Amino acid sequence: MSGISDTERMITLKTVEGTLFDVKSSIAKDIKTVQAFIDDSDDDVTSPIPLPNVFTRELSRILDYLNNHHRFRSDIEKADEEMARYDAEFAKSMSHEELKALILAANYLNVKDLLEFLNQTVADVIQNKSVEFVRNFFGIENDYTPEEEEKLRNENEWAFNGVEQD
Amino acid sequence: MDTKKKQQLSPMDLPTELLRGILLRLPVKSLFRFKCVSKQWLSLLSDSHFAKSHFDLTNNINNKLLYLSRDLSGDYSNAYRVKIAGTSIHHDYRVHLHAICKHESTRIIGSCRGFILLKNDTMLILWNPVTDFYTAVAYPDLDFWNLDFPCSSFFCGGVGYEKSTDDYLIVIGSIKAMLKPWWKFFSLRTNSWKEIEGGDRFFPCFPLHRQLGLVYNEAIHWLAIHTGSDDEHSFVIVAFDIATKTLSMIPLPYPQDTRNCELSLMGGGGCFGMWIMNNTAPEIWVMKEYKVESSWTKLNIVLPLYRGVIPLCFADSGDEVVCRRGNNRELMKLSNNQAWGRCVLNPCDNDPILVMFTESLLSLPSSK
Repeated sequence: MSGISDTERMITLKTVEGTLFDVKSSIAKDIKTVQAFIDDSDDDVTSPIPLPNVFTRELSRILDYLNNHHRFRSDIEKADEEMARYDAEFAKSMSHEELKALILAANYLNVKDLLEFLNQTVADVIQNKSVEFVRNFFGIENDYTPEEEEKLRNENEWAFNGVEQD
Repeated sequence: MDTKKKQQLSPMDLPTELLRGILLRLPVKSLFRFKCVSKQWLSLLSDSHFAKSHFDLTNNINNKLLYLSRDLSGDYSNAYRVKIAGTSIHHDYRVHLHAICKHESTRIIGSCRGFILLKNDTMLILWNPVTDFYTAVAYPDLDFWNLDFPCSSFFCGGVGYEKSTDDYLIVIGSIKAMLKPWWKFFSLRTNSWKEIEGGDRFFPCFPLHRQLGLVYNEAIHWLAIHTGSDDEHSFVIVAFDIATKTLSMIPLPYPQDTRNCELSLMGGGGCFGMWIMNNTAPEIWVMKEYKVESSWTKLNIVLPLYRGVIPLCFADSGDEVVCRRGNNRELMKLSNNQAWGRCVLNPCDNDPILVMFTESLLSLPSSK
């Protein structure tokens, strides 16, 4: 690493499974939970930082997202267009379960931009879906009696037009 | 601790706080449907803090119009929302008018933060069409209203929001015994009417569909005839400043003959402007810098060269204009000579009043 003028310090992250990831400190800055850990340490952090809530699959995705976004930002001319294309692919590549797991991880690691993007992604998925789809998606049990639900549906009848097939 | 908590939940349950982050990004229509998901969702979605956060996050999306539609008996019974999205204009959904609004004389006169201001012969109503929350306000000085009311050509109204006091202000202007104009505002918080000073210089004089109070830059705007110190009359834009509660005037791009009624204010798309009929086609003007007369700029949008295409509002940061045509019952979107998306309105008046509308879950503050 020595001899290169723009050498960056590397930080090592360790997932639940024990997988190690080397991350540039400029990328780590966007992972607020990691950055806070570094800021709180008196000495230079040399040993791997353990992430007890983050699995390898999620961390790998998050780093992929951050690395790509850093790359896009350095090339202003194409940034918006390529970033939009990348984001769309990124959102499409995940199952619903993977999407939710990534939200939990992004929230724990406090990666704000990614969390906002994922929130919007889920919102786009469920926007025109049925109540049943949404219960299924979030694993929510229906605690209404049939009468209660029927009444609510009638009161909000206008909101049930144009619902997509699940 | 965190891992323990996670294990207690079923495999991938998102905590309420994360769920909230997702729900805040949904349109109001979806939120109303999802009240049926569970009791927890119902209470989350009915919370007034949620309503405020949701509005703050979504209120910049200003691409909807609302109008009232009559039923077979001639009464207004429904409100339709029209969505302007990309190249299409289409009906989005219909809501039933609240019983209190169902009247032959009901007219829309303003719109603010998801509330529609309606007037009829006996009262003003501030109504949220999606939550059905409303408040009715009695006119001031009801006795004298019986004389020449409803004379909608000499009446204008509007509603604005004062952030510092979390208050809604309803403003109306009319003409006293056909002599002098007066302007008054009502505060929901203080539950009282107050006269606005200097209002006798501004004469409201347009048919109601051209007189919606246009909210822009913390002020409500209308067209009016101004009487100068030398008794000279001229068309101006009158602005009610919500913070100072005073009236001021903004000159038009160029002077207009006060017998000409073919002009109107335009909002939407983050712009403040107006159209003026010139020969056979309307010109569209935008005031690039608020209250700076020299910043009036004529837009390059050429409207079809025949009468009957009337601009309504801006869309897409002012590059496009939504127009009405054909008995005013059809909507279309125009940019540089290109026309997109037509939408035929449901049964309504010959000259229906369409208002820009940002849907919200908000309710109204009560008076102290």
